[in-house]
Amino acid sequence: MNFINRILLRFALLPKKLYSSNGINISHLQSILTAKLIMDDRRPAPMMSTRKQRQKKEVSKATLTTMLISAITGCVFLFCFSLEAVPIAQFTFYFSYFIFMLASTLISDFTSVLIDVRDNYIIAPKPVNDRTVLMARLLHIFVHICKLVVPMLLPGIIYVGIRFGIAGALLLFITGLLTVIFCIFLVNAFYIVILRFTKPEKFKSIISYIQILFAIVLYASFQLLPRLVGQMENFNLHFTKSSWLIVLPSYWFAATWNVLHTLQGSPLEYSAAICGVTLPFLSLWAVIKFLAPSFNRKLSLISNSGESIAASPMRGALENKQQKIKLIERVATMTTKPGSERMGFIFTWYMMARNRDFKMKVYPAIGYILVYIFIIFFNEKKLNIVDIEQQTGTGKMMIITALYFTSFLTLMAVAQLVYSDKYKAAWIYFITPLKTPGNIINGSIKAAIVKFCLPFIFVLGIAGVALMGVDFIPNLLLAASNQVVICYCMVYFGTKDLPFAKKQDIDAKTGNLLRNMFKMILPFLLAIIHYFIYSNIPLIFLSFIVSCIVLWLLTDTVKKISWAEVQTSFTED
Amino acid sequence: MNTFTFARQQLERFPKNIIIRKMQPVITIKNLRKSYNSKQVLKGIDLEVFPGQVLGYIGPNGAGKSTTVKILCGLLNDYEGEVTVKGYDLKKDLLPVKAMIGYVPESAELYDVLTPMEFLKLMGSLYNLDEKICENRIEKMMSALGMQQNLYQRMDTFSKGMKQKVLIASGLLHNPDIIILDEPLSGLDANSVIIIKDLISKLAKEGKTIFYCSHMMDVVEKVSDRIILINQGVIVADGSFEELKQQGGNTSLEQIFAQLTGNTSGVQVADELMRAFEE
Repeated sequence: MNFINRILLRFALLPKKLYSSNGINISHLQSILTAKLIMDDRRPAPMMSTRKQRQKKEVSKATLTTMLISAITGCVFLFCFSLEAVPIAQFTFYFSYFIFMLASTLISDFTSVLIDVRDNYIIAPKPVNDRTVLMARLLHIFVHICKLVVPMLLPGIIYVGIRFGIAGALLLFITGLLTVIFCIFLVNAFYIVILRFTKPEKFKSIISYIQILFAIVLYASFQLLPRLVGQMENFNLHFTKSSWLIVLPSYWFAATWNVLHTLQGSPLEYSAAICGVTLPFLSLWAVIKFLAPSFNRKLSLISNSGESIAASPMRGALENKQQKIKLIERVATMTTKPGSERMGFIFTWYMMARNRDFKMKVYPAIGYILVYIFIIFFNEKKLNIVDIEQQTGTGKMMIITALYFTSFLTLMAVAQLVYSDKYKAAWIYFITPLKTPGNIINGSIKAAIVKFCLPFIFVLGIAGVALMGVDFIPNLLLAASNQVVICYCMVYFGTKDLPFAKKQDIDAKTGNLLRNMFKMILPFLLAIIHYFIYSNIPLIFLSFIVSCIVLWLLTDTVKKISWAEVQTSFTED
Repeated sequence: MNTFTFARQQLERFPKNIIIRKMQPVITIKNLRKSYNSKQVLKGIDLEVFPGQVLGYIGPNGAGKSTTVKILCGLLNDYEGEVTVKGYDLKKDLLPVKAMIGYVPESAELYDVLTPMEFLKLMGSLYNLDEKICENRIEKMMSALGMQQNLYQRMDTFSKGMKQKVLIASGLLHNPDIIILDEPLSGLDANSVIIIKDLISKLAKEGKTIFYCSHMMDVVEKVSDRIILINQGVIVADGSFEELKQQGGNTSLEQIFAQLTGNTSGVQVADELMRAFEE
């Protein structure tokens, strides 16, 4: 246990008299908390584990890592103060990020860290009284929140201290605490709402969808907020006059800070400040009185769902599923050869739609790219339908950007195809008489292309034809064929493995830099070439034919990928 | 009486083992060695398995059981020695061998977001089965195992026993001649255990060869007609349960196991444990 945990533990155990007079067994409390904190220390920090996990190294300082990440996040929030706006606006943005980050972290931590099913097997059968268990849980939550909040607020407090003096820093600390209380209410309410509408078994995937959404919104806000503030005329005036702001919790806390610091403000700010001071306590009361009892009960439902027994399905659902299966199989029949290629397609199709790990890695990336496309087209005021219709220089540039940008989506998916947290399930490829793994790999790439590339090409095609007429079609075909070429190139020059058969962090070896460079450069290169020949229809057709030949050669080599070429992590252990 | 029935009558007079030993072995393992880095796990295994035999393959943890199984299934190919299955050399003709073997792994990882139907169809296509036949077979097998209701449900909600049933179906799907079972009963309830045990003897009667790896001595004792005990990478006993009993002069397979693997001090361990309470 590191010094931070030790200090926090000692702090949490200070009111010994109070505990023992309430029938709490101090030595039980201490040993439960100690064990929990030691376990926290050895659990990899969530943000680290999604990236590259150290392969063999044991995690032993997870607390420090978590705190460091929180501190860095806190520093990132400081960018709100760099926006050219009145302090109350800056604080509103700051608190928005703070609430957003804290709530999203807590939502996932409540199920993964704070409520542990194993308690039911390990602590419940022991002669420990209920109050002690409850107190241990509450203190654990308290310690956990401290570890998140203190480093997250610290950069802000230091900055505000320098800019507005000690009083400002102190006020930020107090309003920060109010925000934390409010966040706990939010998380509780969130859980109650979600559990009302869904089954506990679905809970984990809902959490991951929400995390994906949060990541995208966060990224979008980082990109859009400065532009918004910079571009809007009289932003400050708008901000101080907008009465709808009263519904924003972050505005309450910003107003509280502002009113207390300047000791003046508009009626709107005063009423928001009153909300900021009273509502957290009101929500705390609501949590204790109404939410907490059912919350604990429902949470144990979620945690227990890990080993739930499959319910017998309803007849209707069964038929519906069979119908759906038929559709996918039809798509597979159209795009693949029978045998292992088709099976690779169908298997990958299901896995892409259902594997949480895959979705968690690919969907945020897709979100980021969409946000980026949005920014390019709508925010820089470059979008001009006339440009596109006339196919001027900028118009062409935008069409090409749109066409080739989507290739990053497919690339992201294709790169992720080989990985799975269930890589050990890949035994099925190795015990069966599978002659060339290339066929399955080919099928799985096709699935990714159909899922991630085709819809975009389709949408862009319709939009393009609507704006520019049939002239656009040759260019669309060339771009589509080039995108598929790019995908196959990545597979051919990348790590070859069967779909969903590789451990995520095996690739941390060196030598990937060149490959990654290549990955970035190839789409750009093809896009630039395409840009220069854009208006020359015969040349476009010629390039299309060349591209198709290259594609044919590439698919042929990918199909023939042999066992010797497959770099699998399956047989390594 | 034609010659064929006469020959069969003659044969039936002999004990089963003798008939079997006159046949061609299905699996021949000669001087099989395998090491991980510097640690030698298999130190020269010699074994011949005959059609219709139910071979109980037992040994303590780390004895080399699962390594042998992995080599037979074609999961490991950097071994020394010679392994032939029905005349095919495992090193040269891996695919025909794989096609003949059905493997039921021990509590294996599964792509559990798939449904049993989807998973088993994937397996069937990897075994080059016709899709219609395969689908038909899956339905029959799963309903025989009492899981027709769960055929279109994702396996992530399944209990361990249900997953094990899917694995058993996946190992038998292509009607293999050799079936390798690695702790096939783990997680199954009493009824399913009876079904599987019965299935094993019926498969053996059909002439299938069964390679049964397990820790559960009482089951091995009952289902297998030949028991191989390995310890530290070498075979220390080979014979039917009756033969082993005569050799060791012991009553249960558990005791023979303890004796041959050098763990005779089970009683002492228990005594020492009891002594821990003495203050």
